[in-house]
Amino acid sequence: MKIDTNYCEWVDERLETFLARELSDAEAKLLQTHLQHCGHCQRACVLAERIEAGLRSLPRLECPNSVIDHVGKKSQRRWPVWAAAAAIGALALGVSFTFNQPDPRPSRQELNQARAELRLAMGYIAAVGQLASRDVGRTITGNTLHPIAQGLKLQLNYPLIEVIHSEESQT
Amino acid sequence: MDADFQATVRAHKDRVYGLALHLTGNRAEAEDVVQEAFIKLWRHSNKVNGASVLPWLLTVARNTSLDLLRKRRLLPVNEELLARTEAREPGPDASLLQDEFQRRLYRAVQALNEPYRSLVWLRDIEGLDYDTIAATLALSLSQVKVYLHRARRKLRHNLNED
Repeated sequence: MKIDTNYCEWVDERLETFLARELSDAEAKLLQTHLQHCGHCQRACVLAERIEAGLRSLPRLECPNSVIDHVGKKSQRRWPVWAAAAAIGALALGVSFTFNQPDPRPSRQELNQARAELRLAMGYIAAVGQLASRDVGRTITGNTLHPIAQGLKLQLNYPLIEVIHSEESQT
Repeated sequence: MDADFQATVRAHKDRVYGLALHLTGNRAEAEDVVQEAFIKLWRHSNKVNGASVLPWLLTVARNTSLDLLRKRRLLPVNEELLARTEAREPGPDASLLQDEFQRRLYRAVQALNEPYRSLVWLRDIEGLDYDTIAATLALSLSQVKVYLHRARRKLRHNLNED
C-alpha cells in the first residue's frame, strides 16, 4: 500500500492524543486503520508508547529530611507579622522619645554662641539708635536698650538672653 | 511547627523538591527553593489550605526556580529562553537512571521549553491530576491537555532525531 505522507502528518499530530484516549471515536478509527498499513507511523507509535512508559518509570526524587528540619526551625523563629510590626513601632517610638527630650541645661558652647549673638544684636541696635537720634539730639541709653533686650528675650523665647543681659549690665 | 503543618510538609515535600531540582538542576538551589516555599506557606497558612496547598506550593517553587535561573544566566526575562537547558547533570542520580533510553529521555525533558517541561514533569513523572496542574501553571484544562500532547510529541521528535 502506498503511504499517504499527508495522512502520516495527520497521525503524527494526533498520536499522543490517541494514546491518551482523548481522540474522538471516528478519528481514533481512522488512525488505527492507517497504523495497520504504515510502518513509519507504527514505529512512531511504538516510540510514543516507550516514551510514555519511560516517563512514568523515571525515578521520583526524595527531599532530604535536613531541608525540612530547617523549615521547622525558621518557621518557629518567625514572629507573627503584627507582633513584629508592633515591636518595631514601639522601639522606634522609644528611640524617638529618648532623643527628642529637650536638654534642660544649655551647654557651654550654646551659652557662648548666644552671648556672642546678643552682643552683636545689642551693638547693632545701639548703632542704629545713635544714627536715628542725631535728628532729635538724643543718644541711645541703657534705659532704651533694656526694653529691646526684653523684646529679644520674648521673641527668641530663650532664657539665656536674660542671663546674658544681666552679665552685660554688670560689665 | 504545628502537627497539621508538619503533615502538610511531609505530604508535599518530595513533589516540591522534585520540581525545583528538575528546573534548577542544582541540589543546593532546589533545597533553598523548598525551604522558601514552605516558609511562605507557613506565613500564608491562614489563606492557603485544603486542595489549594499543593498547586500553591508548586507555583511558588516554579516561580522561585525560574527566578534563580534568570539571575544565574543574566538573561532578560524570557521564559522561552530560560527554559532551554544546556546539557547538565540530571536531577536524579545517574545511577538511578537504569538504561540509556531513560537518560536520553530525561535529557530530552530537560531540553523542553516552559511550560512543556513543567507539564511533563508534573503529569508524567509526578502523576498529578489535570486540575492541580492547571492551577499550578495558571492554564485552562484544555490548554493543559493540548500542551501536554504537544510536549510529548516534541519529546518523540527529539528522541527520534538522536
